[in-house]
Amino acid sequence: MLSIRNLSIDYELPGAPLSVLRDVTLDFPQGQVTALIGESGSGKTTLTGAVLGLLSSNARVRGGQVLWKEENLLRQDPERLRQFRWRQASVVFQAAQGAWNPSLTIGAQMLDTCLDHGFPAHAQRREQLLKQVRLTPERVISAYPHQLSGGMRQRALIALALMLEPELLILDEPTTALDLITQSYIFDILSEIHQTGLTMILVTHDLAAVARLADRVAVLYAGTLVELDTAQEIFENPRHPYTQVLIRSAPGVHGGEVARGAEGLPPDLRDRPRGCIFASRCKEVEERCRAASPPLENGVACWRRK
Amino acid sequence: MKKRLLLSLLTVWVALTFTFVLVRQMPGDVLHTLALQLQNTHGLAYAQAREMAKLQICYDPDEPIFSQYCTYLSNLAHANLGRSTTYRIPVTQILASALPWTVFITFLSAGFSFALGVTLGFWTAWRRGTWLDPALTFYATLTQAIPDFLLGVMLLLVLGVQLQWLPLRGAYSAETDPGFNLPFLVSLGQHAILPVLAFSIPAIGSWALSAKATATSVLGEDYLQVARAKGLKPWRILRDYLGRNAIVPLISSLATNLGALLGGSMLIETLFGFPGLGYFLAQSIGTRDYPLMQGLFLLSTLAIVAGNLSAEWLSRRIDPRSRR
Amino acid sequence: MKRAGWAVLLTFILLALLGPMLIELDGTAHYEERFAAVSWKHWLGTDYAGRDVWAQLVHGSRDIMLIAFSTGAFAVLLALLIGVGSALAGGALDALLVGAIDVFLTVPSFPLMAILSALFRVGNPITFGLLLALWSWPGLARSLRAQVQVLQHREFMEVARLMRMGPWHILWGEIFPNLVPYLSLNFILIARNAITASVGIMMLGLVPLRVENWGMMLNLAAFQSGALFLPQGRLYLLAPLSAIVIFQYSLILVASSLEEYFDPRLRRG
Repeated sequence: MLSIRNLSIDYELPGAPLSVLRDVTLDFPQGQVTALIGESGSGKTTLTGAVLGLLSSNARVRGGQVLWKEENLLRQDPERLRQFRWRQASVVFQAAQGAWNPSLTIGAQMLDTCLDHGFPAHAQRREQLLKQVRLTPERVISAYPHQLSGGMRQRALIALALMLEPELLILDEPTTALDLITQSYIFDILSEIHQTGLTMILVTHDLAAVARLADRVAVLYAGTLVELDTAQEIFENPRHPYTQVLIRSAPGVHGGEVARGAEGLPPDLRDRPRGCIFASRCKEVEERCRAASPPLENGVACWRRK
Repeated sequence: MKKRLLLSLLTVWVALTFTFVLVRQMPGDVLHTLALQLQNTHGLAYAQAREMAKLQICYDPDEPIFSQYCTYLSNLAHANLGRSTTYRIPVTQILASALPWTVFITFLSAGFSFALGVTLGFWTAWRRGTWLDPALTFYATLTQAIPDFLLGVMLLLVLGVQLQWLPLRGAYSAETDPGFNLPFLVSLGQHAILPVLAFSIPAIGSWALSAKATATSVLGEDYLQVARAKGLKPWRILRDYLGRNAIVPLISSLATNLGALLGGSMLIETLFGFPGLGYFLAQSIGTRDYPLMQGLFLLSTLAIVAGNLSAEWLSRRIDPRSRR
Repeated sequence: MKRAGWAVLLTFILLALLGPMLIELDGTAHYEERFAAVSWKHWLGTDYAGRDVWAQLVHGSRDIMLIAFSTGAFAVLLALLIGVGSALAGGALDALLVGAIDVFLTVPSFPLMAILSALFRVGNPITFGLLLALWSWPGLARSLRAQVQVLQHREFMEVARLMRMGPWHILWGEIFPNLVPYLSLNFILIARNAITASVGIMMLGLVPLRVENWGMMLNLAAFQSGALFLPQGRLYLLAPLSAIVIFQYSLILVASSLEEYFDPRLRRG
C-alpha cells in the first residue's frame, strides 16, 4: 500500500548539509504493523514526516519516491497532501508533550478535523470511538486537555487518529512517558485496532512496544536501513551487528541480561563514511566494511551476513 | 489577586494623599491667589472672597491638618471634587463631559492598532523568513523613535495643513448638530482620523512585535504540528491553533494599555484640540486650576488601576488552563 | 546601521559641547527677517522673530542632552540604591520597598512629571532631569532587585563570603561589575524616554526654559507663533522635530548595539 523507494533526505544547515536519510527502500504491506526502531537521530521521524508531507522547511529531498498506491506523494501539491493527511494516513502522537491544543475542548478538536476534510461530522462516531478507547464520552468531549490525565489524553489521541477512518496509522512513540499500567492498557487498545486489519507504522525506541504490537521490524541506523525482518526473527535471531547490540541492550528481553549499547558515537551525518555506516562502532569490522557500503540483501545490510 | 487588589488600594490612597499634599505645599498661596481673583471678578470683600475660594477648592487652611484630610476624603466619597477655578463649574461636570471623548478616541485607537498589529505580527510569525520580518522590525524601531505627539504634528502638517484633507482641531464640526445624524457622525469620524493615526502608527509596530514573539513561541508547540498533520485548512490552524493561544497574553496587555491610555494623552488631545481628559489636564496645569487638576489626576490613576486589575482578571478568565 | 547610531550620537554630543562656542546665538528680534528662507546667512531660515533657527538648534542641543543624561544618571542611581538595597536588606524593608516600587510603577507618571515641573517652575535642565528621574527609576529598580537576588545565590558569592569579604567589597567587587551592562543599557533607554517626556512637557508650554530649547521651539512653532500654518514657517517647526527624531533613533540603535555586545546570543552571522 505504502512503499518508500530509494529515499534520501538532507537538512540544509549552515556549513554542510546533514544527510539524515540515505537510500532507504521499505514497503509497508496492507494490514501489518511495521515497527521502525533505532536511536534518536536515526531518521525515524524524518521518514514519517516525508510520508505525511510534514518535513521541516530546511529539509531537501535528494532523491527517491514515497508511493501511496502508485501516487508519488513527494510530487503532490500542498492541497492534495493536506487532504491525504488524516483522511488516509493519521498519526497517534505522544500526548505527554502537549499534542492537544490547550484552548479547545477535546470534542472540538475531533470535530474540526472532520469539517476540514468534508467528512460527515457524526457526533455519534466520536462517541463510539471514545468508547472504543475506553473513555467516557460525556466527560471527555467537553473537557479541555489539561483536565484529563496523561493516559486519558493518550487514549483520546488514538480516538482522534481514527476519526476519519484512515487506511494507515502511524504510531509515534505512543507509550513514552506513561506509567507501565497505562502503557499496557494502551497496548491492549492498539492490539484491538490491529485486529481490524488497519495498516500501522510503529515508531519507537521502546522494544517492549515492538514485542507487543509489531509484525515486522525495520532497523534504522544513522539514516540507513540496516535490517528488515519479521518481529520474531529480529528478537530471536538478530543478524546485523547493530540490531544485536540494540536487542541485547534492552532490559528484560534476554533473560534480564543488561548489555551495554554500542560503544562510540554515531557517524557524523554531514560527512558520511564511504563504507558501512556502522563500521565505526562495529566489533566485527573488516577491511571491506570500510571500503564500500553493503546493500540490503535478504533483509540485512552487512558484508559478513551475505 | 488579593495582593493585586491590596496594591491597587494602596496606589489609589497614595494618589489621593499626593493631591492633598500638593495643594497645601504649593509654592505661592493658592487660596490667596484665588481669593484675590474672586474679589475682582465678583466684587466681594476679601474675607468673603476667601470663604468662597475655600469652598471652591475644598481647602480650608484654618482647620487642623488632620480634620482637613478627613473633610477631603469625605468630599471625595461624596463625589464632591470642588469647582474648577477657570471654568467655574463643578469638576465632576467637566470630567463627565470629557471622559466620553477620551473613551471614544482611546478605544478606537487601541482597537484599531491592536487588531491590525496583532494580525500583522501573527502573519509575520506564520510566514517566517519572508521580507515581512525585517520590514516589520524596521517599521517598529523607526516609529519608536518618533514620540506620538511629534508624529501628530507631522500628520497635522501633511494631511491637515498641506493637503487639507482632514480637519485640524476639535472633535466635530460646530456646524453639525450633535446627535444621531449622518452629518454629525461623518464629521466625528473625520475629526477622529488624525488623533487615531497619531496614537496607532507607533502602537501597531509594538503590537506586531509582541504578537510575533508570542506567536513564534506557540508555533514551536507540538499541537501546531498535530494541527498540520490533521490536514486542517491553513486559516483554521492560524485562527484556532495559533491565534487562540498566542492572543491570551496579548489581551491582558491590551487591558493594561487601555488603562494607561484612558488617563488621556495630554499632548495629542491638546494638539488636536480634542476635548478629552488629557486636554483638560494640560489646561488645568497651565492655569493652575487645582481642583480640576486633582480630579483628573485621580481619574487617570483610577483608570490605570482598573486596567491592571482587569488585565489580571482577564488573563485568568480567557485562559482555559486556569479553569478547573 | 549600528555604527551609524554611534556616529550620530557622537555628532550630537560634539555639537552640544563645541557648537555653542563656534556659533553665535543672537537672541534679539529682527522682525524684518521674520520666517526668512534658507540662505548662507541662515542655514535653516529664521523663526517668527527673525532669529536664526540653526543657531537655536545648536545652542538648544545642550539643554536636551543635559536633561536626557541627567535623568538617566539620577534614575540609574535611584534604581541602584533602591533595587540593590532592597535585595540586600531583605525582610520588612524589602517588602516596603517592593510596595513602593509597585506604587510608583502604577501612578500615571507623565501627568505627575508635568504637574510637578510646572508647579515648581523648573528653570534649569538639571533640576528638570532630577524631577523626571523621580518617576523613571521603578522599572529598573525592580529588575535590579531580581538580578541581585539571583546573583546572591551564585557560587562566586558563596566563595566571597567564605573568604570573609566585607559587604562593601562584595557589593562593589562582585555584584556591581555584573550589573554594568544592564545599567548602561537602561541608562540609554531612560534617557530616551526622558527626551520624549521633557519635550512633551515643554511643548505644552508648562516649563519656561530658554527659547532655543528644542521643546520650547516646538511649543512656539506649533502653538504660539502659527508657524505650523505658514508655509514659510515649516522649517522652524521641522528643524527641532527632525533633530529630536534623529537623536532618538540614534539612541535606539546604540541601545540595540549595546544589547548585542553584552549578549552574544543576539549577535547575528
